Amino acid sequence: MPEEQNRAGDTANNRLVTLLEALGWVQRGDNDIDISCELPQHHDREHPHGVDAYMTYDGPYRAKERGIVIESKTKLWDSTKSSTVKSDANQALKTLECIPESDEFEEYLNFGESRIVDAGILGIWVHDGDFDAKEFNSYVSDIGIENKQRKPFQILVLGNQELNRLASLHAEFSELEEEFDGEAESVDFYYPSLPDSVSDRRSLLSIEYMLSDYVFAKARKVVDNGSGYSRPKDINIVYYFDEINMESLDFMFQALVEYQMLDAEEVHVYIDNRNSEEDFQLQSIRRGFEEEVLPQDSPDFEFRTLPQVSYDSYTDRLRGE
Amino acid sequence: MVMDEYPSDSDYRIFVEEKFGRDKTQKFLKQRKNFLVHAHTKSDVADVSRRILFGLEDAEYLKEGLLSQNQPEKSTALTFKSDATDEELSADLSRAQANETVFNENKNLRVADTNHTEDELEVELEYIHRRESQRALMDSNDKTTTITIEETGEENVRKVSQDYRTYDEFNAVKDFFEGWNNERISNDEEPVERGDIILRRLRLEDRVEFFNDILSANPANWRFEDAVKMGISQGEQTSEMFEDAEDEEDIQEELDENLRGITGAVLSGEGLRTNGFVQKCIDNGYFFESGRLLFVNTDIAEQVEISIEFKQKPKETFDISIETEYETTEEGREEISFDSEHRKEIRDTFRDLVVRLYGEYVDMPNLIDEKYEPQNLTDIKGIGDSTADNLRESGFGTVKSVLNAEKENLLEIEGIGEKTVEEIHTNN
Repeated sequence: MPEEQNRAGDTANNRLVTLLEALGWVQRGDNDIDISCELPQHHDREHPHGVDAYMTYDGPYRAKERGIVIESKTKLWDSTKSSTVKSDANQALKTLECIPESDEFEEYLNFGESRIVDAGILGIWVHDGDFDAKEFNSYVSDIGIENKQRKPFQILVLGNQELNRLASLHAEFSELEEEFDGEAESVDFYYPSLPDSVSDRRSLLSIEYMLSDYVFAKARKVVDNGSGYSRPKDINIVYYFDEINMESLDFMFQALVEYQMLDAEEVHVYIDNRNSEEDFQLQSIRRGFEEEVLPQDSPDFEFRTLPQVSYDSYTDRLRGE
Repeated sequence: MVMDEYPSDSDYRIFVEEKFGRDKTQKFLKQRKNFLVHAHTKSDVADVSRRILFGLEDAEYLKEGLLSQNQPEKSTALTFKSDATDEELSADLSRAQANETVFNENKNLRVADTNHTEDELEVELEYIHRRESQRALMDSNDKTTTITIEETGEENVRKVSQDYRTYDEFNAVKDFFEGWNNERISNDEEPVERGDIILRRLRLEDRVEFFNDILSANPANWRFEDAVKMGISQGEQTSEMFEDAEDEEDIQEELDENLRGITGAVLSGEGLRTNGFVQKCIDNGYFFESGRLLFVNTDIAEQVEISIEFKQKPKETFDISIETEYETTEEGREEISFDSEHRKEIRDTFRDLVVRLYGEYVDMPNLIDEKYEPQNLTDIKGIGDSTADNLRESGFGTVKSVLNAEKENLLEIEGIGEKTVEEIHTNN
């Protein structure tokens, strides 16, 4: 039984690391490294902290690379309770608190690099098909681990819904990478400029984008200009995860205005309809959007749906299994 | 709620740093984004989250959170008496919904939905709220408010509970009962006679006892811990024991200094009236009409500061609201935010307590029949015995004549200044 559990743990870990690597993150060191616990406030813990994986990325908006602790679980829905989710989050948090003080962390995982290490990803994949997103989110809402005594931290909890969404996002993005792979062609995630930083294009998905309702990307395609010569055509892309209704799409359009995302010939909006309760027709959305939202001088808008892939089988395919 | 522009990065930063604050933003990120964030300052949490692109649903959630922060939700209750059965009332309201009966023309006030369960009848009202606006003479928007009707245990008297943020919601319910009653009378059906829970209907001594009962009841494991602030009001009779005090403000100041003793009187079980200052207030016609009270939960590590306020005309009612929420810690307590369900549950507990205790002091069916109106000049807020005498001498013998009098005429009477006139016109 423990062997089976270990295997399930390895699979969970490998899947999450594979997906994050595909999204531009880099794993440092090996899986399952034990870090001795030296923090006096963790006195209840005699065993070392097991770090499932440690990943980094060189993201936008920050001067230094980010180091992120990865904690991955695979569970049955019946064994997924408010208390277990809280305990998993606590485990991730304690690891996160311990590693900056740890020589073993520097020796086996961070290799002495100067990085900001204040974040963790807790991936919980429920594999028996009974996952209830609303219930799961309420478990996360119940977690009360913030405390003024603690150091600052960020832990993003990814349940089935978020993991499936990320897998779908990657599936679409990698298709575009294949489509725009010619000379002078490109596709990247786009990070708009903010008052304190310039805009950036990277094939990397940051933590903030993982929980955003819109993820921007920019692509350049080479097309025939009609007289036998080729010319570049810019396409802006929005991966859209908000509600599917005209008011919400209108709000997205305002975000495109705010972040200068209308500076292209075309804007392609990929809608995630996996959790939409109502049937919708792309044609009628497009018509409604053109009639109700779009000013006359806007670029052409195309609406497409994100492919619906399942996180487990998708990441297994990525790993070549 | 329509938002005209996407909030800029600096909008969001200002929103978090100056309006929403650290704890609420952390809670928002946890509840809406499964993102557990702990930052030391408001500025840090703004920095962590400002690079997230929020869709309309989350933006509205933030905006609503801000609005609710500005206007805390209040819980109130009223009673009504009707000889009709629950089934008849329920059927009547369902009919009104189906027929789109309008209970108030100006507001286009109608029943939007009803839901009858074994214990209660829930009624959703819809109406148009018009308000002053800079852009147009009157800005209007569609609003709804929900009431819950339950038995009280008193024959034919029902309790109506309402949670509301703005007074238009409260007034909509008031108008609804007036319209519903008229409608039923014109259809030859049993009337629905509204009765408010009005502190001033109790005898002066009872008002203090009533407050004492509220503080001593410890409902649902909430134990009274401290009177953070108490508000007093002047009743029907005053004497000269407060002769050093120029006005109510001075007395309020003296009351603030005596809060520790007042808390002690309740906690010792001896009761408010054993406190010298409270007794002095009663002797002089003053009574408590509001309190900001700290309660500690004996089961879970929570504390809450509840505000209980009994209002005077024209919004004669009582309100329960939550001022501050705390987690009990080893060091003492830390301010946190309860979720809206939990806040509602706490408000409901204290609202039900007020209604139950009030019922112990009054005969509700009779009081509803009597309909309270100020009978004596001294029932008017701001008028004591000597001023009442002066008013009578000047020809203002009835309550109505005083309330309808011109300001200039009132100012000519000895004992009445600008402040009293303002009080008469605002609070009566």
